Amino acid sequence: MLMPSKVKYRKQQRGRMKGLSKGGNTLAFGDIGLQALGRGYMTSKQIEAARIAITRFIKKTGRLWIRVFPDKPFTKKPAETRMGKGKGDPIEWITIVKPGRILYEMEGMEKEVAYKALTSASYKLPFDTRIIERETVK
Amino acid sequence: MEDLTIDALLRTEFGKQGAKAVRNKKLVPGVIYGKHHDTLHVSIPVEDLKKILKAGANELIKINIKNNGEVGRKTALIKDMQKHVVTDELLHVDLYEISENEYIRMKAPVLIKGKAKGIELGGILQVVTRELNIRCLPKAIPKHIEVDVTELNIGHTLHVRDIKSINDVEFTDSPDVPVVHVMAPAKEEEVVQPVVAEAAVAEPEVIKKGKEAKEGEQPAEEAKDTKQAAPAAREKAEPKKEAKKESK
Repeated sequence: MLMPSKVKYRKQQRGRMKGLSKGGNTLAFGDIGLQALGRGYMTSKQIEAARIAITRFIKKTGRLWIRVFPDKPFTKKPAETRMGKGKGDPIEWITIVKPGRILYEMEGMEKEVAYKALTSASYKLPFDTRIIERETVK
Repeated sequence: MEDLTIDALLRTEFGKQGAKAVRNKKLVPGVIYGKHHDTLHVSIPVEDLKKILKAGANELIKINIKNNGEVGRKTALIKDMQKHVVTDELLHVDLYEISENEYIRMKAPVLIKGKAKGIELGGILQVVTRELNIRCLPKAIPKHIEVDVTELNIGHTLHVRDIKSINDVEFTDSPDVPVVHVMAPAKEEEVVQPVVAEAAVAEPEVIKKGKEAKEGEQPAEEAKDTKQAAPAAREKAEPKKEAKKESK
């Protein structure tokens, strides 16, 4: 699963996730991609689960780009613990996703197959998504 | 190239509030600028702009700018455009005024023609450059630049120098810039289910200043000492247990 190799600090504050995605909101590599319409935390497990769902459809010809990286530690206190005594321990790595963010991009496969792959990936995610295509020249 | 005509109104409302007011009237705020004229702020009907975008981004547009009964005419190209990231609503448009006898520099989209030989052998066609920089007169602006890839085999790359030259159009990119590449087929990835789903999350290394010991790690010398000390400690612990048993 994705996680940083080095960090400056073990724990981070939660922060806020208002507004729209300022960067990473257009297709940069592939012809078709999955775009977030909602907002929320996307964990490294979810990123991996969606990636596996997509790779089931990718045969030899397809390429996949993951456009998000979980670089934010998410902490949690153990069960049945009284409040206080400091911040909990990091349990997983997350990334904050805002509306408009491109999550996955694909290239080199049939459009129908790509749609199926990205639809199955969208079931693994905790927010609404849509499939977008590059505006092609006719 | 076909000429398209749109009507635009001279805009007097500026800034965030002004732009919002314009958008509420189903108009798109825009700006027209060029080399030889002052910048003009305009608003263009959304539907007209959508029609133009449907025709293609590299089309010459004839704009009739209406201001208190007077009509000014300009010829322009769409230079830039802002869209809402979720709703795709047109937010703003930049129009670049051109004069017919002056060369302009712009980008033209690449259109892939044919099926590469390498793809039939299982290769993957990778479009490296989707837009090429060109220099031409406004009359000669191409809608797209056709790139024939039928002869490309696995591992082959088509560069800017290999593209068929177009009349009155000059490629300003370096001739060595790759445009299309056919990659070797990738190995099919096996989907392996993780055996241990709830494995403990390993923590990454924490960067610290100076030569301080990292969190969760002991300094090297201390670690050695503890390793050596550990067997001795066990020996000490074991006799105590035995002694307790005997006493019982």
